[in-house]
Amino acid sequence: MNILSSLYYNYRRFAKAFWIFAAIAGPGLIVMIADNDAGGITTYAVTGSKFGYSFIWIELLLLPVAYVCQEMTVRLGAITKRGHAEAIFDAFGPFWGWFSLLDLTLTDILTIVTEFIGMTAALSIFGIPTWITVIISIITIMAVTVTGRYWTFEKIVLVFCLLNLIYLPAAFMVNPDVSAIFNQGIIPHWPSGDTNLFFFFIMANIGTTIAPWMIFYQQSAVVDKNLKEKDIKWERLDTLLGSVWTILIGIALIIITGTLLPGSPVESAAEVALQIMPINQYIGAIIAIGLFDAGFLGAVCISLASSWALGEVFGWSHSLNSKVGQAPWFYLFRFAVLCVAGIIVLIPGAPLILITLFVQVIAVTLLPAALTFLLLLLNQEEEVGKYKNTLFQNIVASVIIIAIIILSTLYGISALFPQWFGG
Amino acid sequence: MGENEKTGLIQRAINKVREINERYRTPKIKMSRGVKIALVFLRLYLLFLVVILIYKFVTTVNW
Repeated sequence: MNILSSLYYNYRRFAKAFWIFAAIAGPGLIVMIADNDAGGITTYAVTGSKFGYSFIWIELLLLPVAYVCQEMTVRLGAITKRGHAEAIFDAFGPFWGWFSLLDLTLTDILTIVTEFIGMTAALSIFGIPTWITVIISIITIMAVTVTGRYWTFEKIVLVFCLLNLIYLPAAFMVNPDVSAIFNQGIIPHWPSGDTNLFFFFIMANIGTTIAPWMIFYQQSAVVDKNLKEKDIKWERLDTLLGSVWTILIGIALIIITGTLLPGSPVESAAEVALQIMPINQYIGAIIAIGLFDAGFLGAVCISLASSWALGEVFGWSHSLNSKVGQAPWFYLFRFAVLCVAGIIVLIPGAPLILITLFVQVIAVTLLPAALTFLLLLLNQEEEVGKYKNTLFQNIVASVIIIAIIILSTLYGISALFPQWFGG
Repeated sequence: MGENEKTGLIQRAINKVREINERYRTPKIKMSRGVKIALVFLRLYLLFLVVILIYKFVTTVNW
């Protein structure tokens, strides 16, 4: 009887904890999964085709990198009840505030262009014209957010996040060599061949794992969801789960292309899908569907990041709990950003490759500042009280941030001057 | 949109920017040595990126 009552007690405890987590989870999962946007999927797919499984251990190393950076936004948002843009203005003054806000807006618009490039390329494989993809995507993205309830928005977006898991069964369907994955992928080693190229891809993978908009998005989402101090432990779990998810998807893509297209000179995820179609049409279709989903999630979250940021600073109503009539500027700005990005993709002969390169360079100008501000703010006891960084957290975060700054800067410079890196 | 309305819109935007600048005029962060060093580093870093971008522009454009 005692065992039964103990089991029932533990079951009730677990069930209660699960439902609390289910209610709080969202910002961390969504930001991490949306991080695997169209550019991210392309990076992983091309990485796998160029280096086979030998990049898996690097992806595993990126898991704590993503978690440490995003976890800080959770504490800052839950305690200060301010988004990152407002926090920068307040703590560092107008110069850094305007720099961050304008750079974020520009980076976001250009990144959304790359999301549309991914979405249109994915659906063109199924014969859907570019203009239809752009129009339907904009309408759907707006429809998801104009429900007037943050909760509804989050649950709808989480359904799209589930679609992201489509790559996991695909990784098993290609029948990968498990021992090769372990020997070449899990055990760290530097692959033979072009070291410059390998280094370039390390920088690209870091660039796709942590982006400026993610910091702004998650902090604002925590505020909009009205998460409190007591929710921080659950939101940390949410962020950790999201980090694991995003890295697993990256590894799945590396396994797919490392198995089916080793050494193939592909340049984009859409090209990967097309090349895999004759080998296995289902996996080719999965890559294309996943690419569309990734671009869609990216566009949803990135457009929200800058709309929230602008709303915070300009004092507009900027909550997803507000209806369109209650927060007209917030929704109008978001719609305008999506339309501008969509129109750029539809312009015949638009310099889309140049835009893709430019995104990398512009993101590099903002990422170091956004991360440094995050670290400095998490050291202000009067701001975050007992949630201030510990010495250990500061050491870990500083090492990660310095590494990201160095590598992302080199990545940005390599985009501008490939010849300096033997390109 | 009439000329007056356009001017009004621009004026309102300028006033809003002024108001934001005024509201956040004094940085609230405690200016410890670490904060000062970090901000100087960020300014130098931005300057470096601007120089790199100008160099790229100059070497790309055919004068």
